[in-house]
Amino acid sequence: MATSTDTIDATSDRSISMQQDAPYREVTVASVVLGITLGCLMNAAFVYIGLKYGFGLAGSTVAAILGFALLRGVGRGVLKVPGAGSIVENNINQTIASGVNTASSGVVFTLPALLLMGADFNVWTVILATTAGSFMGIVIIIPLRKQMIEIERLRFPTGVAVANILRSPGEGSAKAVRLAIGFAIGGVITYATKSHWLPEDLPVGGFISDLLGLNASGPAGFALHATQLGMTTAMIGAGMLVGRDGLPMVLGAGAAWWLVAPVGISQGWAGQTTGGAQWGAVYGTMLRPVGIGILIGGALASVVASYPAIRGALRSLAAAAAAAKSSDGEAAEELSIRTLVSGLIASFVVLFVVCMLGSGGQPPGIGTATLVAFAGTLWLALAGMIVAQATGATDISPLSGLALIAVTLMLALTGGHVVLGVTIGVAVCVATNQCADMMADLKTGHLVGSVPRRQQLTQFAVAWIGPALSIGVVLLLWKAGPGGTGGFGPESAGCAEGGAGGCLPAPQAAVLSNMVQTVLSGDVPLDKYAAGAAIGAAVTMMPSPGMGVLIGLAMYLPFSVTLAYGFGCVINMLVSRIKGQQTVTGTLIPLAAGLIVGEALIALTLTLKDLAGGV
Amino acid sequence: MRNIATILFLLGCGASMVLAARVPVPGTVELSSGPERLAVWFDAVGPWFVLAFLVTCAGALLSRRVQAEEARAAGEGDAQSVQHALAAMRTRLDELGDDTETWSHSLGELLEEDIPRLLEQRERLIAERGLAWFAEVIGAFARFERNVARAWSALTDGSPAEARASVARARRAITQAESLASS
Repeated sequence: MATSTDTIDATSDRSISMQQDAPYREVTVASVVLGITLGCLMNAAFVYIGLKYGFGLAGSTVAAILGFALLRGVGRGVLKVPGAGSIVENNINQTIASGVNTASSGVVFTLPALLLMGADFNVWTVILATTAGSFMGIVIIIPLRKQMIEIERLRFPTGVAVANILRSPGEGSAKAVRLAIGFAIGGVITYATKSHWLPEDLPVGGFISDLLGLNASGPAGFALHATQLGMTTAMIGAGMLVGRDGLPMVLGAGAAWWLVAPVGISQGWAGQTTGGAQWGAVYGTMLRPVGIGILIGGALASVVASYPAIRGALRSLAAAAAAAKSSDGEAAEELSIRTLVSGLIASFVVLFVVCMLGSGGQPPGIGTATLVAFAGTLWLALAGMIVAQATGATDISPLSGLALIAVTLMLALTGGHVVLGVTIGVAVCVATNQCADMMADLKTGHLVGSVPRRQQLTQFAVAWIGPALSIGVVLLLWKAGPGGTGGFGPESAGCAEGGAGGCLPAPQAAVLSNMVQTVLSGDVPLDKYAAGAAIGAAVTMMPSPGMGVLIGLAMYLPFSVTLAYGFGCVINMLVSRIKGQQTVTGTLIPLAAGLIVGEALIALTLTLKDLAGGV
Repeated sequence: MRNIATILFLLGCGASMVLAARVPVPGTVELSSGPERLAVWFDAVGPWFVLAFLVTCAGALLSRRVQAEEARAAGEGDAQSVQHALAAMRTRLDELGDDTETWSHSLGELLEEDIPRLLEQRERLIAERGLAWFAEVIGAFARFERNVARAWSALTDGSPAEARASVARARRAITQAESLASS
């Protein structure tokens, strides 16, 4: 919001526009059409990027900026539509666009694994399952809005960044300059790292280790070499937005890399490995599985701890139905609980039908189908909460780890039915992404004054579009190019890492398909998951919200990412202590938002440029 | 007491993390199933892990108790300061006047200064009055906050009628929050 000096800059602009008082535009045909169009374009593009490079992108910032240009610039400036491109109208546009786009990550990281394994599956049942997952993700997470946004006050860094973009017309020049400075710093650093002018990670500890002449494969040397600061301005910006509340993540990362890893190496738990193999052994067989366990235990325990608030939220949802009929509709801010329960039941039935059909291969019996649909729904709810909490605190989604658990669970319940296991896994991934996206959008809406019910309804209305589109694009790209050499099918065998030569390596799906083979062999780190879950539950008893999820996430992630986040947290705390909270709000937040948006947009631009040059 | 709680928590948490990460059989033995891994791991470090787990729980519960006691000690003052803060915010809305062009600055100060200042007391209030009470109050307060933000957005977008309606809703919400806070 504008401070006294900033407001002066914006006043003249406003006084001109206030000469008219058109109805306040929020959910409009323009915002819906633009949101769906941008969402579809980003969905298809991000599926391609996911298959090529193995990472997903958030579309909210892109949609908000394009919406600002098209709804406000063209709508109000060129077409002279009174009041066009209002802040809340653009928020609906970005809500819809990201809602359509968000299915792309869930599909691209999982479905191609079925194709890579040569499985015979029915496309329509996969579409049915993912569509059910898409709806389920929304209806399951809405009752937690009160808990996560109003009570825990999770920051949702991208949500805050998008709110800063949306509010920029009224923020005044000083804040716009800070946002632009952040954007420029984020953009320059991202460009420099992607162009290899700067290292992606600064070897802070390695420098000290070399200075002391330590053996890099010894306990102390390993810990120091693992201590790298990621040059990711998005993570630094996320930490700057969160501040002191993010410190448990630094604590978790410190325990993982400075305590658990050195002890493990000194005890020979990593075997006789060195270099990358040693890092893989420590991270892959110790830290990551324990981290996943802590995430699960922490999320379950936080649900128990938050029971009074969740009960209150459900009561207010129940009241929403009655309030919607009142004359002013003031309290009708949420989708009614009847809508949510109906959506949940319908999605469950669809999931059950998918299980009965078997999605290809031998269909399971009615008992197994019921069990799979029920377990799938329960896991989906838990995974959705984990992802929403994790992105709320840090902007990072532990999607691949949760997808693996989903597939493992389904394989165990179906007795190794790979097609059904992965199909439900795809649905769970789509659902968890919907949870995180819906919650981030609601956070943005909270900050700009949108009515939650309108955002929930619009995202609900378009939830069916994304999954089908993503699946269609994956199938289209499966055997793309001359003779299928430009896709990721058997004709592109030997596709080099990074997709050189135009083919698509589908790295995440390749990893999942290898993991499915490992799970089928019975090698599941159940000990790590169980012990981690117990730790997560114990840690969540601390009087600090979401601590279990944060510590689990810290063990799950590479140290460089967590350190970058922690660096941002420390900056926030220092500025708050030296300059006061007002400077944090007025200066640091727009700067951090700029850092996040700068990295996202420059990374996207460079990726598209790379694709254009490589195809 | 706070230091003892923190030390117990850190010791328990660190030890249980190390024990959880222990590979079932150091070396190269391959295990064929998840349950088998669990059994071998528990045979090796189970009792120590349970001990570390209990120490973590003790540290966490002690921390919770210390925080609740500190909140109770500061309690009366905090409760009054919340009442005063809510009343001050309602007064600020009451003083906005008819000319919406002058509202933006006041609404901006509410969003940037007054609301964050109150929310800084969140953890202490939960410890003192309980989560159920806080959830009730914060529900109404969040509605106030959202409507103030909407009024600010509407002013920026040149819709003073919407800004007036939002401020009216915000006023009702803050009055409700005051009433809930005093209960």
